[in-house]
Amino acid sequence: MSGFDLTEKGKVPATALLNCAHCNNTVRLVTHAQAVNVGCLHCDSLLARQGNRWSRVKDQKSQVRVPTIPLGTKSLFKEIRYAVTGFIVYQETTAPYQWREYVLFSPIHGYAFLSEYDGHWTYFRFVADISLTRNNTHSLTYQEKDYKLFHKYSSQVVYAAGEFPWRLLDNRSHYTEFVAPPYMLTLEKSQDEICWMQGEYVTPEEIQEAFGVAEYMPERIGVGAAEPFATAFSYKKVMAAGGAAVGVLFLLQILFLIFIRPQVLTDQSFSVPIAPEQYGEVTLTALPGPTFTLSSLTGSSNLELELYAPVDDEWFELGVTLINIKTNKAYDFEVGTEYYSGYEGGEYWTEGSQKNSVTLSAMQDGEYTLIVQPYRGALSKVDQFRLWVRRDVPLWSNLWILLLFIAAAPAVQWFRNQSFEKSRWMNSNYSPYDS
Amino acid sequence: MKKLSIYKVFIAYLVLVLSYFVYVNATGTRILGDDKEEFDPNEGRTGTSSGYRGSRYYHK
Repeated sequence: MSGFDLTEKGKVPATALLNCAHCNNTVRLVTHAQAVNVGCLHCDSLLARQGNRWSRVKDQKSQVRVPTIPLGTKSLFKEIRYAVTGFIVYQETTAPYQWREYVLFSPIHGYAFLSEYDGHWTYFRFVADISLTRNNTHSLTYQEKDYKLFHKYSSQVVYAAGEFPWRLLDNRSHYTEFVAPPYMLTLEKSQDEICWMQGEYVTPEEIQEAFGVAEYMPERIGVGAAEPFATAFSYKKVMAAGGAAVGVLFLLQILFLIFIRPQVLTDQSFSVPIAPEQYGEVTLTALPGPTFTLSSLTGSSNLELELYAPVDDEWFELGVTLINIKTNKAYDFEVGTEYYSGYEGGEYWTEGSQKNSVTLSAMQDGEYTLIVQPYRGALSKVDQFRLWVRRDVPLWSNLWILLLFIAAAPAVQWFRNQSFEKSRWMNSNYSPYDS
Repeated sequence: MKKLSIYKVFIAYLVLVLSYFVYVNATGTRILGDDKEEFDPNEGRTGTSSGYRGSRYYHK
């Protein structure tokens, strides 16, 4: 920037003055001699510099648009002092889609651009460390981020206001866009130049705050090409935290399996002699069971009672009363077995088991005794059964239930992320979701 | 800032779930509960039935 003193770093230099070649009104130029096209805000003429003279090259009255960020606005944006020097409305050459670009100028950092489409804002800056020939690819890696090809299109200028250091009408630009939200890489090719720009998604709120836009902001429609999915509660962050929690959960389960091992408290067999032939359900005499002591570090532990009865095409059941001898608190429950087998349709089948168990949750420490009441069917051949009482059996159901609790939020975020990505790629001809 | 809080709440939730896992395993608590019916001689029987419940196996 000729004449700009570095001691004034951080300030945008004073403007130069130009008289419009059509309406003769004064146009202020922030970029001074760099401007080769100027859009006059008074008469909506597009002027072009030819040598030392300016001439009108296009009447834009029928295409006038009002910029959301007024021209001349000065702002500290992304820690750079910018002036808004240009406003352009573009349209795809093969589709009616239009978007708006704001030219930002900093005498220290040069030009940058704010692009707005469907209420989604992207901040673009030039990058020079990508090969200019890397355009015929579906993906590329830049600064450790993987970008996917999103769109290829050509554009034409519909309306322009402000000052521009390139010729707007003589060149038709061709763009190739790659996305890695919240970033985007765009390769722009025109007759005059070829360059890469890196874009970063910016929220409308950031734009409003940085540029002091008090007016209505364009409403956001759909998902922006570079719009990130929930940056602070992103799918990846939630998955990482959830995955770590699942790892800790399994580690804890392993530690519990190692340090709290099941212990058999009693193992007793009982005889229930076959009585003379009876009809219907047979209730036998209640039998006194074993007495055992339950003690643990935490004051309670689980109990498992396992029943074995040699049932064969029949059932056997125990009504059990577990009594805390000290407190007289009694716990009633049932445990039964059934086993059936047969031959049907050329195949053998079986159903049930000769063993079954029940688990009692969080039993308080103390001395317990059992009373068992056997039941069996008429003509039953079961004349004995066996009962085990164990403590501290692994409760795998606890693990699976809490695993579901941990996985719920990542699962929800995963589905939301999938839906979000599908919406994003609906605007692309290169969607990975197209079959 | 608001979204960051949601993430912190999620982390706190995970810590709570893991703490609960330690608690239930240490105390032998089964989250699904169990089938026992408790009877306190001083308070009376919990649940609605008395004595052994009447479910029996009637098959085939």
